[in-house]
Amino acid sequence: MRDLKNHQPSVDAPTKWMRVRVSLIGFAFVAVLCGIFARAVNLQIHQRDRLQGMARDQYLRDLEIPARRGDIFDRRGTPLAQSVDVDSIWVDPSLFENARDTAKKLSAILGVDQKELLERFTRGRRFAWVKRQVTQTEVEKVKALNLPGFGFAKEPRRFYPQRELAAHVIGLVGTDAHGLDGLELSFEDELSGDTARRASVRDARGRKVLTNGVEDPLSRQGAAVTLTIDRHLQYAAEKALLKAVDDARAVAGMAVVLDPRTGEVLALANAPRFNPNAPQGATADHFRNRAVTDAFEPGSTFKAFVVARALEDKLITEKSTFDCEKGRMAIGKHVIHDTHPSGVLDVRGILQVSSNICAAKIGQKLGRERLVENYQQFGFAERYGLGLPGEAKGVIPFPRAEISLATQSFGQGLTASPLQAAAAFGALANRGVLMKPYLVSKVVDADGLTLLENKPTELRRVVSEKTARTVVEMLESVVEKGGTAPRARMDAYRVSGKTGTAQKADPVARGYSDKHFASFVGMVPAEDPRVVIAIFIDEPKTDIYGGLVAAPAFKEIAEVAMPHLAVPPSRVVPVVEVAAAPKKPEPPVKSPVVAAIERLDELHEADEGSVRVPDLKGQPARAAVTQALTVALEPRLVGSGRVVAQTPAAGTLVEKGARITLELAGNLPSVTR
Amino acid sequence: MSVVIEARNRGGIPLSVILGEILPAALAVSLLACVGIVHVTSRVLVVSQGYELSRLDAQSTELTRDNDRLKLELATLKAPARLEAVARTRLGMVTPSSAQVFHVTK
Repeated sequence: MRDLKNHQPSVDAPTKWMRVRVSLIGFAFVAVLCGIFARAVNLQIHQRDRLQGMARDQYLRDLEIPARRGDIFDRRGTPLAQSVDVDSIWVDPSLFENARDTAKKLSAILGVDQKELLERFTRGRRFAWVKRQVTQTEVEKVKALNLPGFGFAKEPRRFYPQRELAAHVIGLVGTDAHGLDGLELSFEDELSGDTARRASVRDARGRKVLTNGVEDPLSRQGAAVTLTIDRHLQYAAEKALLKAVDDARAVAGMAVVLDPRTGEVLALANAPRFNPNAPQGATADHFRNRAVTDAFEPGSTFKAFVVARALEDKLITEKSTFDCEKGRMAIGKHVIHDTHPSGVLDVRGILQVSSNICAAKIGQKLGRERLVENYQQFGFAERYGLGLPGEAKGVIPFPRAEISLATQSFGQGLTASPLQAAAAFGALANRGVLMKPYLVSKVVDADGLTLLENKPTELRRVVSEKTARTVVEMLESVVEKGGTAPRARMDAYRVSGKTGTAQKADPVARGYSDKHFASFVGMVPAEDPRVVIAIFIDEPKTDIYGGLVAAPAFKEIAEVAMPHLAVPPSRVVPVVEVAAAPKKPEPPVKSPVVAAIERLDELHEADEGSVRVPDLKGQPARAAVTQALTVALEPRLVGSGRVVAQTPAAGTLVEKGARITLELAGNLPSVTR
Repeated sequence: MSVVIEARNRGGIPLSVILGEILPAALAVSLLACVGIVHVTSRVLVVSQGYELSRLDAQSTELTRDNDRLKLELATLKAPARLEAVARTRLGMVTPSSAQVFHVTK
């Protein structure tokens, strides 16, 4: 009997087949999973950087957010330099149909050279600047062309709202917003701020999606710089200086206005000047901040320091007298001259008429070491670190020769900058204490953190209070009648100062040229000086004397400064009521000949308003000038020596205040006074 | 599920067991669904707020630029040279002499 049990279909067979199938499917799954895993490893690890970069390119755009350059303010918070975003025009040259034609059109609108534009379009495949920092009108004109491939990017541009005002102090920036000169250059790191680079998500249309929030714009802003400059005084100083330079037909001029009690520089002016908004066309001569960078022989203004030291060291007293040798003194082979020959003078008289010979004698009393040390004590031959590029140090050479000792006593044979001269007079004005001059009062970053703060700093006591007061009081005589600078005298305020007329060195001939530096450094009010004003005029051509060329500029600035600083007057000036003149009917039109005859008649009749020109021929320049000023005429000197001709001629009836030209001949070598 | 209920109807599986078996899974699925919905909604909101923020940022930048321009214009108009010219020519003003300046003391 067959074992039916063995012939029965096996129940294990399908199970086994099922297991095989399950195993196969399982294996297939594992294989697929391994494949996926391997691919994932390949994508995520091996190709990670490439793919990440591709993805970033699609949805992220790197944005460069330029920092906003910090502003520069004057002492009262008026902006002197500001940044404003303006449009810059760029193009994608690959989208141009006719690059030459486009360049021609743009050149006509934007004033950019056509060839240069075409060159830029050829150089840059997808991007080229057309013109940066353009005006709104230019943008509109370019948009009106309706050409493809144009883009407009906002870029910060530096503006100077006060135009030329304090341009030498502030300096200027280039197209890429980097400082090129002045404080813009010195404080580049503080002003520039931090340019931020940030990845921003862009959608399919290219729109910006700020999913990660916005950065505080303040964090990118540069620090604000506040100066000690007062824009009103700066304006007055620049205006007066330009007028003085213009009137004297001079090469250049410098003016420094300083608060002697604190050392704050209230104004720092130079002529010629430039407009930092449009510096094109300005030369290096215009950019030069001469008041700080130039050191030259200052002349007689230094006599004040020699007298101060001699008084301080009790080598002389106020009543000491010196023989001024009638204007001529020989030292070895050399001869020193005075412009105005004098006999015996006291110390006040020496300063008043600015005698070189007597100053040299006081210098001899001081001696070489003490003279040099004295000048150094007054701050010469040292830099103050004002914060402006190229600050001059000046040189005080040791006067080995006797003649050097003599000339250095009246400010020749050594060099100093206008800033140093102003600071030194500030020491006399500040009762003998030299203050450190400073221009930047504080630098504050956008978060309000003070990065730099300058406070009034006492450098040293140079002379005693008594000596300083004595010298300041003596210097008042300079602006009085008989002094060298009556034009600096003010009606309401006591003025104290010193003139200087220095000969300029000739580097080629190795001697002195016939060119001069005319200067006046003074303080006002003399009883308690609130400002020191230093005026220097380089190579004046009409007149050469500081009292004639520089003193009027001093007075003009002081007349603005005193009411502006609310300084009470030194003396009471009677108020003259000016009644409004009744309006006269329009006179009938006269022929020029009739008008001229009537004018002559008026001159003859008007005794009070007119004067007869005195005969000044044969007189030395100084005496002629004094006589002309006495009769209220304004002398203009041509040449040097004695008067050989005059215009108008002697005896002519002219209006008071008219100008009289005196031609001089004969050489007077040393004319510092 | 119907198999389980059928079994229960036949009196095989008690309700507590069914709830104990199914509820955690159901809750887990629901939780995942909720998390998904919240995540998607939040992403949509973030993107939408991103657009809004971007718009406001652009507006703020434009207003800051306008403000800067106005400040510049103001400073230009207040330049001493311009003020003097206006005072002298348009208003007929003159600089007072020393005698015409009065100092008021406290």
